[in-house]
Amino acid sequence: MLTLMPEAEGEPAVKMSRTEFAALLVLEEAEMVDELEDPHREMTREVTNLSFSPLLRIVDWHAKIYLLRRMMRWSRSSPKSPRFRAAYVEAERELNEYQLACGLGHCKTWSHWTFYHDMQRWRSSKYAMAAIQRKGVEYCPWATPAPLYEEARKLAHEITLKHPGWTIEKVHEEALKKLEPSYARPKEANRG
Amino acid sequence: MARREPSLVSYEFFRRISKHIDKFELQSRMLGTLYATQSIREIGRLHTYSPGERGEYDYTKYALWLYPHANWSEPMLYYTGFGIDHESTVIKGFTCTVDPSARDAVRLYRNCALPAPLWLPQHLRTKAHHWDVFGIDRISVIDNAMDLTANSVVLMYLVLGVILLRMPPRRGDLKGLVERTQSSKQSGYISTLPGYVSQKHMGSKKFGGFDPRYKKVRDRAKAKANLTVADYEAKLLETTLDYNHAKHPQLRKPRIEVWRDGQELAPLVLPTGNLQIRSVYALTYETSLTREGV
Repeated sequence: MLTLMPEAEGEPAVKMSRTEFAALLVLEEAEMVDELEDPHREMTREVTNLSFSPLLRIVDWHAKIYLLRRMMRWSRSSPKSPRFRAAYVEAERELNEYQLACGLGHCKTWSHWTFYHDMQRWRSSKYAMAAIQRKGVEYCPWATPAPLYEEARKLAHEITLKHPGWTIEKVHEEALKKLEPSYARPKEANRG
Repeated sequence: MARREPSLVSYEFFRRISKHIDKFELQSRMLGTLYATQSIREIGRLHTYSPGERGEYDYTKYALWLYPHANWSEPMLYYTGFGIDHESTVIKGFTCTVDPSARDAVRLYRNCALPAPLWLPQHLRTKAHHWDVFGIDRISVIDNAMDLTANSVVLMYLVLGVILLRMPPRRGDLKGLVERTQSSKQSGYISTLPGYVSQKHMGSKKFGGFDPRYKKVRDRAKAKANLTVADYEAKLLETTLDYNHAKHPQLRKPRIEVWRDGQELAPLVLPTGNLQIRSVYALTYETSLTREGV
């Protein structure tokens, strides 16, 4: 439903569905007047809509926001430092108390390690609230894998296309044969 | 027992990789390109970025025996035309017809482009509030059926400034969403109605019309028919609204919400003015001869 506010004061607002409004536009009984300012061009998401998430996911989201705000002060410390870990334990304890008081038991928790990297990702998205998605902070996996895996990928394509009938086991075996000379690990000493 | 050495790169890695190998390439090496082209088509999901960017239009191959109105003695075989939006997959409009012609193609597009209160029958207009899907597409996709590619239809698209894509025969995949929507409507609703005839029992080009082998099936369906076109349209409208309010399979929110949210990014283009509507959709109006002309 659309609520159309009249320009003159004292007149009541008009409520109508989008369809009715569009019908009026088509029949030229209504007119849209463009705004004079340029439209907002910044391409950032300003709002994260949680209303389609399940309730537990919404609770998780709030917990994450609370922890992120609470841990901002320690965002420069290493996740291995005792200060950081103590602060995180404290923050988690407070959150847990609050959740228990609300009647929420067994809520989702995160390790201090995961949480530290969440903060880093939040920082890289300029601390935008909208970067905190339904599943955590927006995250892109690394695009460059290790050279061994890059070569394994190429070999897998090559061998499969050369022998289309081979099973994955056979392709795996063949690729390992080719990879081992250049990437073999040093053999463990015989303990016997 | 000897401890098994972990392999350099795991089997799991190879199993995952194997899914990303080009199936077409693989098949063409095994069977030859000719056979690979027939079984595997190199299509991905076509991506559009906003509702109203691409619309697809088609008629069903299945049909329904319906009475044109309550005072008619013998049912007639009706086809249903659907128009859908590619991005949000909402149904934009529909039309039923006995014999798809250029006039019906124009009517189908008119039903998709104009707000529902302007074309729905009077008694269904209250439901139009929930169906705020309308507007001219940037690209319209049709197949090469005679009725859809008639000069008068192409002229309509030309006047509205729509880019028209004519898809070749036997390439339903190039407008797969409308085919899928038709199939959903068929399996979920239309096939349960009395008088339904599936595409298998309709006929094929080989026979130049109805397939004589299935005449009895069609006659049996005809005997069961008891709906009028108005009844059918009312029910079709209800199921269409249900369909539009169901979750979008990829975007995980109601299709109509996808459509509404998209309006903020890419506002709709509407045909306006009585003159424009009457001239563009002229074929859908009844002609009458007066002393001023037609």
